[in-house]
Amino acid sequence: MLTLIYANTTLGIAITSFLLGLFVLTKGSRNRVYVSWFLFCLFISGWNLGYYFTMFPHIDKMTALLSSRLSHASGALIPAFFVNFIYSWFYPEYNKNKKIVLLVSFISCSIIAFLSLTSLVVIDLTPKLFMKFYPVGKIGYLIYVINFAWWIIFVHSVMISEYRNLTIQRKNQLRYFFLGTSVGFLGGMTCFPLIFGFPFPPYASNLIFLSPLIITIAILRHQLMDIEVFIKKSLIFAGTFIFAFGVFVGITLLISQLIGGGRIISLAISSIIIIIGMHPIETWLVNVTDKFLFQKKYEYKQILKKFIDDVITVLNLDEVVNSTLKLLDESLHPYAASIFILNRADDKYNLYGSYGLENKDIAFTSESKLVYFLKKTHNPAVIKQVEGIKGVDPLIALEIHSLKAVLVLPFLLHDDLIGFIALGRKRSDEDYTKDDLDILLDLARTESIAIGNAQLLTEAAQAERRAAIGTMAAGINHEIGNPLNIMSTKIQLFKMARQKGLLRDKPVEEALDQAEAALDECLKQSVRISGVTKKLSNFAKPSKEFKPQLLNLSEEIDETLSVVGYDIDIGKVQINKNFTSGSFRVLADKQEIQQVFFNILRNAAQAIDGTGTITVSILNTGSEKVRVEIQDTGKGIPEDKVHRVFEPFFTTKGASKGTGLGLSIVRQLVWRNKGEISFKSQAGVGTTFIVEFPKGE
Amino acid sequence: MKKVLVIDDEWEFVKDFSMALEMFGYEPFRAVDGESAFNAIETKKPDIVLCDYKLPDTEGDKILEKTKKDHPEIKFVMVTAYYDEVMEKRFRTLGADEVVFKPIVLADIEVLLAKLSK
Repeated sequence: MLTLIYANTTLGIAITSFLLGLFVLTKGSRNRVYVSWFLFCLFISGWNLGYYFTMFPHIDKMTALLSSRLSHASGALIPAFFVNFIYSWFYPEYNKNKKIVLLVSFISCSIIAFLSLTSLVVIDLTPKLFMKFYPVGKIGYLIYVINFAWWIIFVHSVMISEYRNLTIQRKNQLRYFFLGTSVGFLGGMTCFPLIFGFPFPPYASNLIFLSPLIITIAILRHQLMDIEVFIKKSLIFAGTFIFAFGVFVGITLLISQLIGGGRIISLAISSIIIIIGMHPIETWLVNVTDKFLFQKKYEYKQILKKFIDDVITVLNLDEVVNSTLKLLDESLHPYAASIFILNRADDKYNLYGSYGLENKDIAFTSESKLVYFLKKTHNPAVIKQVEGIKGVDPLIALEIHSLKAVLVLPFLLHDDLIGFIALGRKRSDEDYTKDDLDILLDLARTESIAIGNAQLLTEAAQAERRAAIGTMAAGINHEIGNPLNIMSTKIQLFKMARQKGLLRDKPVEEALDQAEAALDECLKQSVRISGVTKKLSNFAKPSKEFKPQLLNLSEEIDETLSVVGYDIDIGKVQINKNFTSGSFRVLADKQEIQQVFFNILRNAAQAIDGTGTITVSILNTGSEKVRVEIQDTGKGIPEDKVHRVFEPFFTTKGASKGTGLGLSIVRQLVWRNKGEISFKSQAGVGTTFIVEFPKGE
Repeated sequence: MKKVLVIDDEWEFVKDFSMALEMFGYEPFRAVDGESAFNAIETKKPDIVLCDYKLPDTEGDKILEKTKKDHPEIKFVMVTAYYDEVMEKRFRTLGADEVVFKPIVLADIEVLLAKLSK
């Protein structure tokens, strides 16, 4: 009985390894990673198949010995093909050293494989433990084992040393792969002790069975070599086969028990049951495998529905497009997906986002047959319904193929085609079902509205920007015009004085002093202008690199206060800190946060004529926000100016202080860090600025 | 000697401009914001006012309006750094005798003042 289990396990491993290798090969017989994986699997399969025949209870000794030697020859080559596979997986090209290693592994393994066919490795077979035949080996076999172990250890050490250079996905793949092969080989090595007479049963060699299993998990969970379809199909095949076989055997047994013989009757009955039962069983198996093995896919409808509810509130076009692509990749798993959006300026549908496409430089004009089809029918273009169909322009199918797609859904807004999404074949190899299409059409409809909204918002933002530029232009004229005016007047005045002869009677030294004073003033004014342009460029692009990090607001404000200190007349302005205890952690860009508080604090100080106080308070409001209040006892903002406070170049400070860019930038920065800013002010009493940020962590 | 009031918050400019006005043969007065401007208009009774549009506490058009209302005989020149056709029209309807843009050209101002002094 034990022998039978042992033998059947080796057969199972042989078949699984072979199918696993074969499937990968069918995915791409020119891909060298796939080819080397196939060869690796093939020799594992050969090794196990040979063992199976050696163990098979009713076999004669001659056949068993031949099987054993063939099995060992096949096994001897496994390490070389393992090196080959791992190398092809890690390295796109081999350097000289790698080529040499590969060559040496093949030469040494081939020599051992050749020796395995002779009586040098497997000398004879004897009964061992529960097994009728088990190989007997001496020094030849020892060399065999050493060669085997050495290469396997070598490959695993390569895996370990290359691990850190991999991407996360490849790391995940490798972890499983490493586990799978090391368990398999460790298990496999337990075959050897008994050969040399140690009474250690080769039970653990059944662990080899775990090897394909673990690698299968890697495939399912981490898309190792993209063979989930194979797993699913083989499970379904195995299930239906067991069903048919079981029915046939069961009924034959039953009928022969009941009436003795009656093979024809049992064949007929079982055929009927198999024909009737096959389809429901298959459907059931598909559902079960989908549900348990491909759980993500099973849930995709829920995910899509939730997304449809959410996407409508997103007002940023990039976010709409990117989140949609990500969602589709994770739920329906198409090989490729691309989103095109109409640019009204040139009436072109431009590629806005995609994955799985090599060519990113694609645009469709209204001349495109695909665009024409979508515009005219308002229906999705499904490749199976447009390709090779009479009366349908074959160019449509060509255009769909150019997007690596099988399905194109239109984005329609008020009957206008504002864009479309192209979806590739699913990784599961299944067609898009009616269910899929229904939900995708829902998605496309919602997406159209979201895209429309996002575009409207962009236009509004641009209009606002244009208006802001208008205000800025006025400010620039004032900020740069005044210093220019001073410089120009000075020069004119000097020239005029000379023309009118006013300098004629003065000593040269005095005239030079006058000229120098004028030049000094010009220099001062030019510095003032450059200060304005510097601030302006900051305003135009407030970002360097935006790097949010966890910050404690009380620390940031302390740091900022120490800087503002230079600017504040400590004798006149008193600063009160009112920080309640607790942590005020927010996720924000350090430099920007300091800039925000710097500006508000400096404004507060400048608003104070004579003596006064600035009170800075930090509080946790509720559980979600940190609030900072900066209160000054300055002159306050006049009521008619309150609504203009955040306008660029608006200032109440007078010519010598500030350009009025401060608060408009402050608000931009606060918004960028997901905060809100507001203020309360009363003329003559003071102003309180309130800044709130969502809590970090 | 005609009296000219210069209203501008840029002290350096006001200083130089006053010197130029003296050279042209006028008696200049200075004001740096709305408040001091109204004061000067009442106490010094200038013949001509040269007023910058953007002032720390008010805008030039408010001074223009009040001046023309209280003292229509005073000639009023609006000075601004920001060229804007709509604004220029508005100043003229409010009664500005001239609108001048910065940076100013002293020679032009001399001609202009001579014209307004007639």
